Amino acid sequence: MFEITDNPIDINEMVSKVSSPKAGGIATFIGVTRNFTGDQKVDYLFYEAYHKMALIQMEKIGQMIKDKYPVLKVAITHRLGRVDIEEASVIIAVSASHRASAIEACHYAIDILKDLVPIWKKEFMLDGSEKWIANRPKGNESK
Amino acid sequence: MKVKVLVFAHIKEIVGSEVIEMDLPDEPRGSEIISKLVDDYPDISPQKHSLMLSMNGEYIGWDDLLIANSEIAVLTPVSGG
Repeated sequence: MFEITDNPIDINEMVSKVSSPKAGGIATFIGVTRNFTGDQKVDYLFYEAYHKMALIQMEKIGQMIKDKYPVLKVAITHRLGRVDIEEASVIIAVSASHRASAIEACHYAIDILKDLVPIWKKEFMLDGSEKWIANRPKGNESK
Repeated sequence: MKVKVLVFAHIKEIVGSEVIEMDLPDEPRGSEIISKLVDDYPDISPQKHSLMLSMNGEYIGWDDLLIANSEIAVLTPVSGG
């Protein structure tokens, strides 16, 4: 249910993973590459992971979600390497018997993933510059 | 105590390798790894205070004791998602 891949992520596969006859709703979050940061134009993003620890932390997030919300299944896949504009870098899918839990748990999942999972993003700009990015510290609203 | 320290992303680029071997006094604390890393690679010093440590895949504090034969890593603030 928790994976890191070098390949494009298939949203249908993510939904299938969390499908359940007890589910009344499945919420998904798809993180995609946008073509700007501030006033700079982005060419593409590049992701690198501490693979082993990233999987440990993703499993932990799965447990944190289940401790906090009445959900059925949680699946998270993060892509590594080059991710072009409009392509997905991460997909989260959560099923629950009731929609509110699925939606809230999915929101919580992406927020804590950004805090905990040791994956790093480098921005490659159209002007040829490149820069490693740090997510904002915990508790900051605008992630 | 000999320790292998894993590094990633920006730190890996500065160091030029993803593993650093360090010889530390016995019963080292996390902060000794950070200090040695910054001494050996001064280009890391602007980021010193944002660095985090992990042992066997779990975050640890700078003050925590390092356990022999653990997998230790120095991490910059993460930016997945």
